[in-house]
Amino acid sequence: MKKTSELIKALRVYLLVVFIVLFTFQVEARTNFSKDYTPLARNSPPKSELEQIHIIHQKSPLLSVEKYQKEFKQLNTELEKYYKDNLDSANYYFDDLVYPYIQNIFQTLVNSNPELKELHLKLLVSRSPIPNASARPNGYMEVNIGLLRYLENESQIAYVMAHELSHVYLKHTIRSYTNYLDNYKSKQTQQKIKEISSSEYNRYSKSLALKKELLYDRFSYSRIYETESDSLGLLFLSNTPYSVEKACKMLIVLDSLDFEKYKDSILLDQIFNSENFPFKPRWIKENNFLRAIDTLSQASLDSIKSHPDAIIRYENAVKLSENIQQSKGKEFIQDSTLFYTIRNTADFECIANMFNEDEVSYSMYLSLKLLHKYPDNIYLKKMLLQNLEKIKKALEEMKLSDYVVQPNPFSTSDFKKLVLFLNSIRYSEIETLITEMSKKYPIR
Amino acid sequence: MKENFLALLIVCFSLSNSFLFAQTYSLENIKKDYTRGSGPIVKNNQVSGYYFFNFIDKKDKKTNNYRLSITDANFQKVASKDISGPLDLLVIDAAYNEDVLAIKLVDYKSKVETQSIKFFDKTAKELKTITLPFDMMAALITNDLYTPDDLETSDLHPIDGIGFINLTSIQTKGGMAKRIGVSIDMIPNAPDYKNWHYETPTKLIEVPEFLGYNDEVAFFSMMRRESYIKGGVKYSITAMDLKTGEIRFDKEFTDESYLLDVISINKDENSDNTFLFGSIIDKDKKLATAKTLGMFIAKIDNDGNIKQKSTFLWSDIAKDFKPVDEKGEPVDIGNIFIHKVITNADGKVYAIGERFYKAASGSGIAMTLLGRGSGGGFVKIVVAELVIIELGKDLKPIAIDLIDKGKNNVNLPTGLGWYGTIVLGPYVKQRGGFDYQFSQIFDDKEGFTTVYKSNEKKDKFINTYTILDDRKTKDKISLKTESSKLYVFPAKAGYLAITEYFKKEKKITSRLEKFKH
Repeated sequence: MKKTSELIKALRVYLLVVFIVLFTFQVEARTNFSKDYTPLARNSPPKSELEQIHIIHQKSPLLSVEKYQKEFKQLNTELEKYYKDNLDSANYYFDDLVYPYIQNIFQTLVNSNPELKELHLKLLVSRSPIPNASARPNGYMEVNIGLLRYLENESQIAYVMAHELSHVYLKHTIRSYTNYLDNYKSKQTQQKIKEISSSEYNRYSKSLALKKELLYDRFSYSRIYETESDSLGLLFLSNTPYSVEKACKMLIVLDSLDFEKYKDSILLDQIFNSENFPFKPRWIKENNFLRAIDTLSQASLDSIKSHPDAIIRYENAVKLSENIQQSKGKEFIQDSTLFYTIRNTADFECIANMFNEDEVSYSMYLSLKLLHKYPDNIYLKKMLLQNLEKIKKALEEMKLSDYVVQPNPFSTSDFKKLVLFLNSIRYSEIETLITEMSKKYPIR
Repeated sequence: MKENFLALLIVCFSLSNSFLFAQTYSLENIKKDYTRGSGPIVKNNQVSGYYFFNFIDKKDKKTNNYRLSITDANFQKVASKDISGPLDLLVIDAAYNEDVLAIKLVDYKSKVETQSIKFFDKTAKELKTITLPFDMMAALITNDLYTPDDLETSDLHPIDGIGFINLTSIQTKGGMAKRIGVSIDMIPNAPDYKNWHYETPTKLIEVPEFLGYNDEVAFFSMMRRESYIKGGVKYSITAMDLKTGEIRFDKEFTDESYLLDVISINKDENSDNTFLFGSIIDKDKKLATAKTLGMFIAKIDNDGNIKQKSTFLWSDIAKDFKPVDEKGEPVDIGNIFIHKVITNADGKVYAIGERFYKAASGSGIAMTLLGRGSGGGFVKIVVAELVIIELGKDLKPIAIDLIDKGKNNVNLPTGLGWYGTIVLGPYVKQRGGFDYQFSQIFDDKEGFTTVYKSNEKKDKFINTYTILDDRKTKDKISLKTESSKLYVFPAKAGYLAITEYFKKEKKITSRLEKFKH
């Protein structure tokens, strides 16, 4: 008997040691980005998530709209169908790192604000690399993995969510489209449509002008809604243990999203240069005779901007936060190392997701940016070679445009150069390039 | 309308993960296929962008709104300009001369016999409009208003950095019948150059073809005849001074045995001389019924003096190179219609053509026997392989490639079967019977790609044949489409531009396709 209890004790100690070793190894594997990376598990959504789709849509705010009931009901049906078809591991995360971390923040926010509990909200982490978060009028909220690359602390993630929750709470989307419908169905607009339909002359320019008018009207509302959500979001946040002060800077971070997180240039002439196959200047030779600048769109840009300027938003948020009574909030509630792991993981996940979506130019771009930071990372070297293999396949099948975008005047100079390079590589060169690169970037 | 609204809502709430810039360039509300008003903008032999001229809507009773859009070589929008013009404005030509875009327009239902040429800079800013006489009847007779999908056929020719040369068919008076002639106008945009005008003298029939130009002169091939029934056809090369319009020479090129039928010219990069390329025919044969016997290349100065010449017969090529088709079977060269001659940076010259021959037309014979023949003849032209003849620095042939692409038949109207291949070649070209589309030269002239059509098991393809770094590569794109019309344009090196018109959706889309090379 004694022997048995000693055996059990020993087994417990052994299991504890194994657990500690495994846990340490797992954390090590996740955090040692300089060596390698393993993409997060593509777990299927928990059964409960799938079961809740119908429940969420039955309680959807879209069904309680009094005006334009039919239209909003149909929209709700379409959204339910969308989630039924797309709530899977290809589009969303249900892993054991990012998913629980983000859900914890969401629950903290909802639990701290009783009025949010009544909204029947659901949070998802999308695989989209676009640095953005969004609130759907059906109660679904999404945080894109691409956004997590940029944010600086847990409080900022919470503020992004609080901002989006405010949109749902204030029914902004529903109000926006009700306004749009009011405007669209107004006697004045209908009269204009009638006039355009029956007019023989200048029909296209008249209909374009009306389309612009309706669009600008919608975007002017949009800016008001953003300001409202900034303020209410801050109030929601102040009810949580998160730091309002540390969260406000998120608005400045958002302003930098147009720029790449990693500033070091991609040195294509060094990366793709080898003794046997030297880099060719024609690979990045640009034809600048005609510069793609759309002056007309530029002139209209301010009119269709949906968000007010970030600096103004930040200043307003700081002013408001000074008036908010909050005991000193915390920058992090969960383990801060977990945040930084997720922030770095998001970089790698964007590479993996874009690779899976055959977006070679974007996957390659981020791989090269990170390779500069982690020159020995095996995963990044693998991605570099595998993306080149995809280009080879695309060239064989004459489908390069399915994998690589054309140079665009609005992209960063690094991205433009990479895209020029990827578009210039000849079929007769790709095989040699892959061979040389696999020698230069060996995967041990 | 309701469906539209819901579609809009759903688009707005679209949860797509798509984050890419559009890979295609799209023009909406295009009610007519105005693709003829579209084309590449070329600078230093490289496609640098595209222009699109489209009808938008009616402005008033007498005027329509049109839009000129300019994109870069990747179909990214550069500029656009709305223009108003007459109701039935037809773009009959457009060209770009490295500085200025010129669009030639005709109000084809108007009784006013004028053509207008509008000039724009690369930002679509309108620079000027000039009006020139236009003879609708002459244009119809010479097919000026409609040419098949051959991008290398045009009447408005860019003279890079200088201006444009515009050819207009006219009817010359003299005798009982009106005769077809030409007026040639230089419209300069460079300050050192002035407008000049040439017109076919009265009592003469004159059909010109613009061959090209060098720093000093523009070259035309001229077919002349005194009347439709009297006198033989005479064939000469006319060189006009770019600055003054003065005729520097007008001569028939012959040697002791052959008449030289010039098809294209190339400037000699190493001197002021010019290379002439073309077919040779027996000097003693009547031009109309003559058969092309081979090919020549000659180097001439600006006064028309031959400095160097090389001729070779198709029969010699057959003997020396024993050409075989892709299955290894011997091929009777017969006649080759040369479309283009390209000189590479390494000095090698490539003549690109198509093999064609006359054959009995089964359908023509059957229709005649059945008594349903209405102009159908017993003879047809069979267009066969693409032929690429490689010439060394001494202009002697060193290799020949025959590229199989299936065969095309062009039935000849009654009577035309008697004509020789010297006449039938251009006839087939005018009918769009050849598969050759255009050739693209790589940057720094390191190689080139020839683009041609083919039919395989009822499917149509656009093919590329590239010679680059001494490597020959073939590729093809299926032309299967749901669009109403599809056009293939030259693009930046290594690419083809595909422009499609969708009548139902009223839109034109353009995209780039990379081919193997």
